[in-house]
Amino acid sequence: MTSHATAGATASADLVRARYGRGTTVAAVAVTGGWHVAYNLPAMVALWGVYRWPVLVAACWLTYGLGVVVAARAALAGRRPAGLWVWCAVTFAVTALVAAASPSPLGSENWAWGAAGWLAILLLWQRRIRELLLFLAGTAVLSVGAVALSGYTDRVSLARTVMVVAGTVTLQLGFAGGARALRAAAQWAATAAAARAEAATAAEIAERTRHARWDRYERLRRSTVDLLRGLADGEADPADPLVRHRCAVQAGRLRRLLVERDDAPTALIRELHACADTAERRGVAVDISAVGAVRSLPAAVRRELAEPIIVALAAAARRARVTVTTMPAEVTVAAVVDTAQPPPPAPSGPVAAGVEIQREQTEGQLWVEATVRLPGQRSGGPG
Amino acid sequence: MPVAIIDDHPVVIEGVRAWLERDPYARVEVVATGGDLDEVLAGGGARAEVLLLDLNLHGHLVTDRVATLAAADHRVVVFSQDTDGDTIMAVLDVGAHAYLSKNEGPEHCLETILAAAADRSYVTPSVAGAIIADTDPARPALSPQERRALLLWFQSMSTQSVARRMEISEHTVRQYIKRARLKYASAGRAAPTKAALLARAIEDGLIRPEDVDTYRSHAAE
Repeated sequence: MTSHATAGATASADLVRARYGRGTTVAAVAVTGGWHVAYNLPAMVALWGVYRWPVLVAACWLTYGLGVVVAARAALAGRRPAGLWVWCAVTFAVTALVAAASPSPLGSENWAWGAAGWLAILLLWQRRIRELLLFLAGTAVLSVGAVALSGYTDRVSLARTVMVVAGTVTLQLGFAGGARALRAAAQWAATAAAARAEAATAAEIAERTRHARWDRYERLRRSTVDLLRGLADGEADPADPLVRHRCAVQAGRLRRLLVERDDAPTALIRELHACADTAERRGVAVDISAVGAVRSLPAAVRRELAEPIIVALAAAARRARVTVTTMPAEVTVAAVVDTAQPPPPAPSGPVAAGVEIQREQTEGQLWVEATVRLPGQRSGGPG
Repeated sequence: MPVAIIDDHPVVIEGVRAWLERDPYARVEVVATGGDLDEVLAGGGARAEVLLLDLNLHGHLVTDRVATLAAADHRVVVFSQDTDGDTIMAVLDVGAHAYLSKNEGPEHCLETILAAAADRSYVTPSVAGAIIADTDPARPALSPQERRALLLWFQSMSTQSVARRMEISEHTVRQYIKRARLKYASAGRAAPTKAALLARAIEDGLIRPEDVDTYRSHAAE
């Protein structure tokens, strides 16, 4: 595929991934932020009087809120929040302080317990799941410790503790896991879409090339059949040099069509074939020979290589031989044509894009050779 | 000089016969033709000195048959529409004397066959093109003049024009081209036909016996 098309495919894959990814990020922010405002706040305000140090709890709530803002902004922007580990420590501290300030850690006044996990999800957004697990394990230990220290060691309390811990952890882990799975799915969708687009483009190109080739074949077939019919009927006399020339021209065109093997010949070869077609319509027999592994060349180089050949073909009288030689270190395009009249003299020497041109004009023959050195190759053979 | 033509298209056989009969000295006589290699060899082809063999017989390439023929010391000139450089080099490597592309037939066919009969190799423009574009890391090293001569010969198909471009004699141009071809004859797979080419070249004074070892050691790098 061309580099343009590949870059396009990557860009569209990124776009799809970003669009899908954004949805889950917004959901996480909404849940965390909403929980903090719609649950934590009312719980705190309603049970204000119960706390040992209410102002401390309020300060914790504000700190937590700030943490949500920082984490949300970073997650939406797709980057890691500044002072990530500091914020994690702060969240731990908030959890511990609120638990300490609550007379009953199992009661609704201990809002930090469940909320800590949500802030952790945002802070550790799209990082390794290990880190989130560690954090949740830490808060779970903290919570169980707080319950034990408060003296609620009876079976019912312990059962309640386990229930709450399990409930919040599974919910939060589930959300985080789901977000990651959605991201992976978005990646697959993007890759699949890009691959499908590539395949569709390649199929389209192949189809167009096939059509173009078929059209050329059809036109060629008609003109060849006319010629053959003329020969068969006796109208065209094979001894007539004009007829022989026509045969040579047709043979050259057929040969060129049959020789095309690649699905999409390189741009340089295509351009030369186009020039040859033009010359052939004037009645010049053109023979194109290409050797060497085809290389893709920049448009400017191709232009400079093809230009002198076009001019030479335009000056051709009856026969022309165009050759393209791709060697490891250089590419040479040459045209040897017979000329009835010499074309206007043009100088030899280097022209733009690193192409060098040599011209030789003799009696009735013009020889043009355009060479460009290829970068990054050793010239010649081994030794 | 008897020659056998093996091609699966009768019209090609007739065409080549016509080309060869145009020789005013009638140096070549077509003694056997056909589309099946074994049949031709069993029949009149047994006394042919040169086999003009189409590489694409009945839909597949018979490069391996070229190898067996060359190993049995038959002089094979491969005649094909396919002018892919790799195919040409492969065919020369297994011991074909020469390669002739079907569209350069009229001008070069007779020369190629006569040269092959004398264990000399006539280098057609398609072979010249294949040699300069050869990228095999084990290929023999060619001198800059040899490469230039091959390239100009491939471009113009006229020794006279090449001689003029390079400002040397036509004889020297042919020397360069032949020497390049001989380097390939002394490299790659061994075959009695390649040894014959080299022996004749030494007789002709084109190369010296010690040059063969040099060429071989270059190829081994």
